[in-house]
Amino acid sequence: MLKKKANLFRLQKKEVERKNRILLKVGRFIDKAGTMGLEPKKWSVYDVNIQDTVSFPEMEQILEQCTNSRAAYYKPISLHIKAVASDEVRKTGRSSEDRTGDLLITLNGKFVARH
Amino acid sequence: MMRKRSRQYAIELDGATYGFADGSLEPIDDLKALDGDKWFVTDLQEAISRTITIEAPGKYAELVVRRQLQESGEFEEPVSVIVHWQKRRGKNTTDIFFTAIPSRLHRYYFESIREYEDNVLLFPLYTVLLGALKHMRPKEPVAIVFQHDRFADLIIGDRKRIYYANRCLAFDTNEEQIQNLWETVRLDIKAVEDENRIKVLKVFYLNWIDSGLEPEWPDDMASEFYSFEEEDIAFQGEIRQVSFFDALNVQSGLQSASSFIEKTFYYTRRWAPRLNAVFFLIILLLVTGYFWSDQKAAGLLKDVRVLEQEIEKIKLKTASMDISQAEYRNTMGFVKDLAYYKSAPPYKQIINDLSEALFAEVKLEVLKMDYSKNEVKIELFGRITAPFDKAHQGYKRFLKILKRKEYVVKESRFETEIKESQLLIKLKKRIQ
Repeated sequence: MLKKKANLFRLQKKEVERKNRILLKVGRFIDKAGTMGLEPKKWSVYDVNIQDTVSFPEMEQILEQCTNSRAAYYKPISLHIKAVASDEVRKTGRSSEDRTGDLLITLNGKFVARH
Repeated sequence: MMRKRSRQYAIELDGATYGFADGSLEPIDDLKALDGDKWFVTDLQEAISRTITIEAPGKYAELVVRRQLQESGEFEEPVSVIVHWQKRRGKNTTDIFFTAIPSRLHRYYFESIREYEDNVLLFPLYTVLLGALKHMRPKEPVAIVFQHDRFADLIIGDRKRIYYANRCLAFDTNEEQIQNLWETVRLDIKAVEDENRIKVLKVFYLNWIDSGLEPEWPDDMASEFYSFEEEDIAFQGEIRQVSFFDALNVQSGLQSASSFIEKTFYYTRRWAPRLNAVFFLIILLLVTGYFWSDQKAAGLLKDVRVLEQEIEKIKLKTASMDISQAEYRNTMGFVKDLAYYKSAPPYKQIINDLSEALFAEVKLEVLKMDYSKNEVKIELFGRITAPFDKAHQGYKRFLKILKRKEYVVKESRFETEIKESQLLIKLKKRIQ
């Protein structure tokens, strides 16, 4: 009976020690995150919602910006592109890649930037 | 054989009773004269010992023998039978070796020994002779002859079977009569040999204090004559050489005619000193074990207390850390989100990958990218303005290149109208 109790306490001690070690690591992590400024309150979030018909160069310009940079992180959510034939294309039969057509884009995302 | 000196005997033979202990034989009035537990060897006065074959199964053998003896007129009163040995010969035939005794004597012997304060094991004389034969375990038949006073008790058998048992007697103990007695013994042996078609190769002789000189064994007898080892016995101030005790020494108490309970009492008292020693050792072990356990328990109790204190200390230390679970989760979640943004492939990278795989004749009409927690799903639809062969080859190459770039194809459809084809492809890529 006593032996079982002693073994139980030994196990309990190991468990408490493990918990203590984990909490120490967590404390260090929070401290380090604080030092590096990785706290939500120090960052701002800007939503990006675009639904428009754009040309190829315009789309390229938009997509080049929707990426991580020194200034901010970009959170991609979705991008839908649909080729829309312009009046000229319909008449001539040329494709949108000839830069005469339009693209209907629907873009969702977020910029997360440090204050 | 060395005699078991711790054992004492009462011997009733030819109407006289003797007490024997420590190499000294003394006449006694009755068993009360001997203090302590004892073996009582007796010829049972009017008893007769025989071997017969009966037509009955073994379990009824004793009953049938009793009836036969009464019917033959050998006993004019109720008779009891002590069975020494029995063996089934056929389906309904049994060989039996027994001692028969009037029931009143049987009651007298078995009841009187129970009245003594000491434990007494009863040994009929022929039980002793059979015990000596069993101890020898002879392969071939042998005879054992115990000659005392004017009697010769004879038993013939081997390790498996008892052929014959009988008491031969002379009219007197003078030399001539004793010679006649031995002649009768020899005739009996020959008769048994003829009847059972056996050869008795050895005859063993047991003597008593009144047996006189060892008989001369005729050369024309096929059997050889041997004597049991004689022992010097003090009897009425003289030293006698007696071999009967050699036969007694090889007996086991379990062969006694006494009941199981009497045997149990006898051996319990006999082994009492040893049992006491064993019990003492057990108690000693238990006491030692108790102290050992007590000491170990005290040690364990101490360990438990120390552990309890240590656990409390660690708990206090943990409590002092004051880490808010919400704060930790918030920070951890935010860092994880940033890591996700960093590893999620940007739109442009996916478009570049698709562009590298596409071929000139493909016109993409729809492209969708949807990001979830750990993957991005891509769906594209396009037309191929090229002959089937070229369009299909291009389609296969497109898929191959994307697979190489770690995209997983979930669904792909290729439909053709020969001049123009359509493709619909659903892909996914893991965000690591």
